[in-house]
Amino acid sequence: MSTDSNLLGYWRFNATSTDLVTGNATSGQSGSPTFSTSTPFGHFILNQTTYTTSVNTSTRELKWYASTTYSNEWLGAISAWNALGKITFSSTTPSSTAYLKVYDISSPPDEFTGAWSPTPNPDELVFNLAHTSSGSSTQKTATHELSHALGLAHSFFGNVMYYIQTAQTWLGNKDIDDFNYFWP
Amino acid sequence: MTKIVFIGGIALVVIIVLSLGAYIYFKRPVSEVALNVSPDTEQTPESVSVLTQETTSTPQSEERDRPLSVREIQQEFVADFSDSRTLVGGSQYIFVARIIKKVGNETNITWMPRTQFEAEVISNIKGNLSGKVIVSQVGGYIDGVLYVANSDLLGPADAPGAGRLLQVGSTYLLPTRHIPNTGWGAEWYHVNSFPGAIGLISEDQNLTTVQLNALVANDSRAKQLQMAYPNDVLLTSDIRNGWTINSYQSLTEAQKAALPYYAGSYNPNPTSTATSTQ
Repeated sequence: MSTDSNLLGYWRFNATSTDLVTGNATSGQSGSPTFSTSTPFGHFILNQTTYTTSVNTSTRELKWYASTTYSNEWLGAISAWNALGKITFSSTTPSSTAYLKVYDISSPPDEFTGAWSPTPNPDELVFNLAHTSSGSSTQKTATHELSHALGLAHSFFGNVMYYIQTAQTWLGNKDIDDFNYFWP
Repeated sequence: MTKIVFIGGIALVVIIVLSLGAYIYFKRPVSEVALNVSPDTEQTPESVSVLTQETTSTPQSEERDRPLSVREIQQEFVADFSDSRTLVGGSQYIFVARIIKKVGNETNITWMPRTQFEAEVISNIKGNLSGKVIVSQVGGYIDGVLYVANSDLLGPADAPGAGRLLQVGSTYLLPTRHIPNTGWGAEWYHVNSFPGAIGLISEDQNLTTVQLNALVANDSRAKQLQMAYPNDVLLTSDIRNGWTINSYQSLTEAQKAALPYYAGSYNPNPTSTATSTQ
C-alpha cells in the first residue's frame, strides 16, 4: 500500500486485494473510486487465469466471424485497435474456424448492452439488441467488448473500458496505455 | 508371431499416448493447474474469490483450447446503476426476499448462463409481489464449469453481487427485471448484475418475517431506494420499447400516496400497500 501523501483513493483491479493503484482520486458514493484529474498508475488487465484473450498469442492474430446488425460499429472497433499495429485482425468463415464469434441477441431483462465471454471455442461477443441502436454508443460497446477480447479489464470514465455505455468512440489514453503494456 | 507384433504395437501406442498426456499436463502454467477444481463441486463465494486472485500480466498459453473450470463474463452496462434513481428506474420490481432453494441452471432463455432460485417475498419497494417467486441470477455452474460475471468490479470479497451466487437462507434486497415468458410456466425476476445492486439484509435463516421487516425498515439501502422511487430515471430503451413496468409516473395518486416516500418527503403513514400497475 502506498504512503504517497497525494493518495486520495484506491482502484482495485486484476481481482486482487493487493494490486492497488494510487492516483489523484476521489471516492464515489458507492465506494467505487472515480479519478478526477490524473491517470492512475497500474494497468487494468484481465486475470489471465480465468479470462484468456481471444487472440492466438503465438501469432498475435485474432480471427473473427461476425453476424451482426452492427457491422459498421464492429468494423469501427477493429479499425481502432488495428491502428496500433500489434494485433492482426482477420475475418474468417465458417464460424467454427474463428477465435471470436460476434452475433446479436435480444434480451430485455438483461441490463447489458454487450458482453464477451471466453467460452471453449470460439469465444463469444454479443450485442444486446434490446438496449442498443446504431450509432456512437454501440460503437463504444463494440470497442469495449473487443478490448476485453484483447485482454483489457474495466477501467474508468474517459476510456472505452469504462463499464457503462457512453458515446466515446475513440480510445482513451488509459486504454492505449494498458494495451501497450499487455501487448509489448 | 503376427499376434506378438500386433500386441507389441498396441503397447507402444499406449505408452506414447500416456507419455504425451503427461507431457501436456505438466507443461501447463502453474496458475492453470491451480484452477482445476472438481467439476461437480459447487464453490462458495469465498472460494470463487480465491480462484480469481492469481494473476499474470502477459499471455501465457500458446494454444487456444483452454480447459478452464472457471469462465468469466464481461459486460458493458446500459446505465450507471450506482445511481439509486437509475437503479430504481431500470428495475421493474424491487423487493426483499429470502432465498429458499436453488431450482435450476437455465441457459436457454438467453445467451448468459444463469442460476434460478425460489425465493419468498418479504416486502416490496417497487411493484407488489407476494408469496414465492423465482429469481434468476447471472452466473452459476453449467456442466461443471463455474461462470461468473464482472469479477473485476466486485469490490470486497464478501459483497453480494454479480459473480457471486445468492446464498440459500439469506435475505436480500433484489432489484429485478421481469422475465414474463420463461417457457417453464412461471414468471421469473432477473436480478440486476451491476456491482453493488443487490443488498444483503440478513444471513440469518431463522429470522421471522416480522424480524426481517424490522431490519428492512432500518436498512439504509432500502430507504435509499424508497426515496429514489419518486425520482426514478427510466432507461431510454425501456421507454422506447414500452417496458417501464411500475414506473413512478405510471402509478395512480392512491398508489403514490401508499409509498413510504411521497412528493419528495417521508410519508410516515402510507395509506395502503402499493399495487402493481402491470
